[in-house]
Amino acid sequence: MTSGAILAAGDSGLFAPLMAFLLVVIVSFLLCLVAGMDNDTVADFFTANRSLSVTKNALALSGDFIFTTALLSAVGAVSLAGYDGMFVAISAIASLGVLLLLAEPLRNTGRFTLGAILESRVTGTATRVAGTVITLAVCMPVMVVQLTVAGDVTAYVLGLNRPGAAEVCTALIGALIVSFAAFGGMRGSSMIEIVKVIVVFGTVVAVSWAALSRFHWDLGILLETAAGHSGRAQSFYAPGLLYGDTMTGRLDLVSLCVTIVLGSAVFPHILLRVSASRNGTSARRASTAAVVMITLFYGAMVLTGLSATATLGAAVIASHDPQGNTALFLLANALAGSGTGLLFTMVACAAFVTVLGTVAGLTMAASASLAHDLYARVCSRGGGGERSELNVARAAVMTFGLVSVYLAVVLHHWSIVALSLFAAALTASVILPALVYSLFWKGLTRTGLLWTLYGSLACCVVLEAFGPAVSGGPLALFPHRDFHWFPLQNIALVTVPVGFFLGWAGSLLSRRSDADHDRYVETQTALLIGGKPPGSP
Amino acid sequence: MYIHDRPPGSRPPQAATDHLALQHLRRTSGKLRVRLLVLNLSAVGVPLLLDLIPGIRLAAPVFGPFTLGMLVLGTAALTLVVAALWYERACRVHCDPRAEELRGRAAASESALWGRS
Repeated sequence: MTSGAILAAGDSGLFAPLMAFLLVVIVSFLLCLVAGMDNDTVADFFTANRSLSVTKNALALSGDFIFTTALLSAVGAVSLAGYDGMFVAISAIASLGVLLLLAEPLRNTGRFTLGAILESRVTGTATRVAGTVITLAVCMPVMVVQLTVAGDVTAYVLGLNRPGAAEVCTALIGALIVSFAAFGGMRGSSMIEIVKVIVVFGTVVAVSWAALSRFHWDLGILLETAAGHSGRAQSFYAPGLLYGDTMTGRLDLVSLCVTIVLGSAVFPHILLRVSASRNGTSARRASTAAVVMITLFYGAMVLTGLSATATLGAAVIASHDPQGNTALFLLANALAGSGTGLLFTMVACAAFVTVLGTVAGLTMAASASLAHDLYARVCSRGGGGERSELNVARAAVMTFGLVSVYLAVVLHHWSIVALSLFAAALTASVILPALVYSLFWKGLTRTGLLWTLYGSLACCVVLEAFGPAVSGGPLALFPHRDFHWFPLQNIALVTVPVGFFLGWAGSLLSRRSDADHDRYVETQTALLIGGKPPGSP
Repeated sequence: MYIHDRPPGSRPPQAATDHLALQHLRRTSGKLRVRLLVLNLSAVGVPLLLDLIPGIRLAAPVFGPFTLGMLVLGTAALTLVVAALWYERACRVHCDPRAEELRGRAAASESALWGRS
């Protein structure tokens, strides 16, 4: 049973949350409609014509970083695993440091899809195809997880606990969210992200405020009570509660941190967001502001997690969901005194808006890759025309979204939360090495780039398939079967070095063409001062 | 004097000046990026190493209810934020004006800057 299914088993069919929920849906839809009116060109649809100010882009970037799993799992991890949960929060902040390093050169390439960015270094359409494959491989699992959570949260808020209710909610909410993305484009998606950040920050601050006031604003009492109610007072603030105090457990925690630090910053929708900045300097400034905002966000999340343990006790949280994903809802309920509280309503709305923003961003990234890379550059070789590309983009949004909704409904009762971490491991092991080599390494060849992209993808799939996240444990994808031989649940500790090695080895064993050398020279100038190199598509 | 050497006291041609300015900008931005990378790696690497080394008591209280682990993580978060703010300021002071100047010149004569001279 998934954490979401446990969520849906709750009973809180209440008027106030429902009204607030509907209000958020209607406001988001109107924002998308108004913002999306000017989407007449491909640049408008995918990058808001690169018109977003630093402030808007910083808010939207922060919103892109807050996945549903970050909102719900971060609180759960801190409430059940103490120190390990705090370590995960630090890793999430550090991932923005990676983005800060890459943001300016990424924006200066002038491209907005993964395939296009990679193609700025090497000739041929193979990188465009590979970029599309990787983008879909990353976006689809995350979409399915986000939509599943969206359905569960909606069913919970509406008090629907009948069999199949969460699936119906997933289908309806999923279709609604996908249509938001199709209408709104990047402008609409940005508006949703900005609303999301405001709602989520407001909620987290309100919950932390209420929790701290319960402990008379004494952080010391909060920390001691949390340790006392964790059931493991001596070890709550020591490493080892998340994956066990063995060497494998510690390596798993390190691998999780590597996944988050290196993977979170280079999700395809984050690359698209960076490209919507006015220029490289704006992208860098937005990233810096996002570092500050995300640090404050995770600080509040840690406080909330500790408050959940101190108020409810780890045993109660774990009894609702072994991974603690319901801790935020339980804490909001406990602080409000009843399910009708304002805090509960705020948390429900925050969770919904979080899903809405993330799904809209992922859908945009996937459709950009399908329409701009696969259709416009590979299939029609740039001869399709802008109008036709825009139509394909909208069709791609709907197709990708509806396929994701279908998979989310079909896989609803499977333990698919691990898919989010798999997607993050993919970005860390495939996208990051490819981008780092493309932007900064002179010796990269087309072969090296393709080895990194496809070789590392294959490595990730094999290790994940034969790891404990898929079989051999009660929370695995196939809990009743055991064919795992790889010991770590988080594969990035192995796959990230493999990704970098493959790119290096492939480049070393192949010869760089003169055309690729010319492209390198042009790109290096563009990366420094921005602007599109002459002759580039 | 070799035929391609400039006469003493003469100004270098525009393309050569641009090329030098570009090299300088590349070096400066590269240095700043490496420093940020080192700071970020230290901020995350120290807690990671402490986590892997057995025998280090991260749960030991060092200041009231605050443990060694909390202080290490708190310092890491602070380092990440300060490093980001420092990087932004350093880029604004050392790189942005040069990039802006080069961008202005590139608008006038693109060929040299794009490596096609």
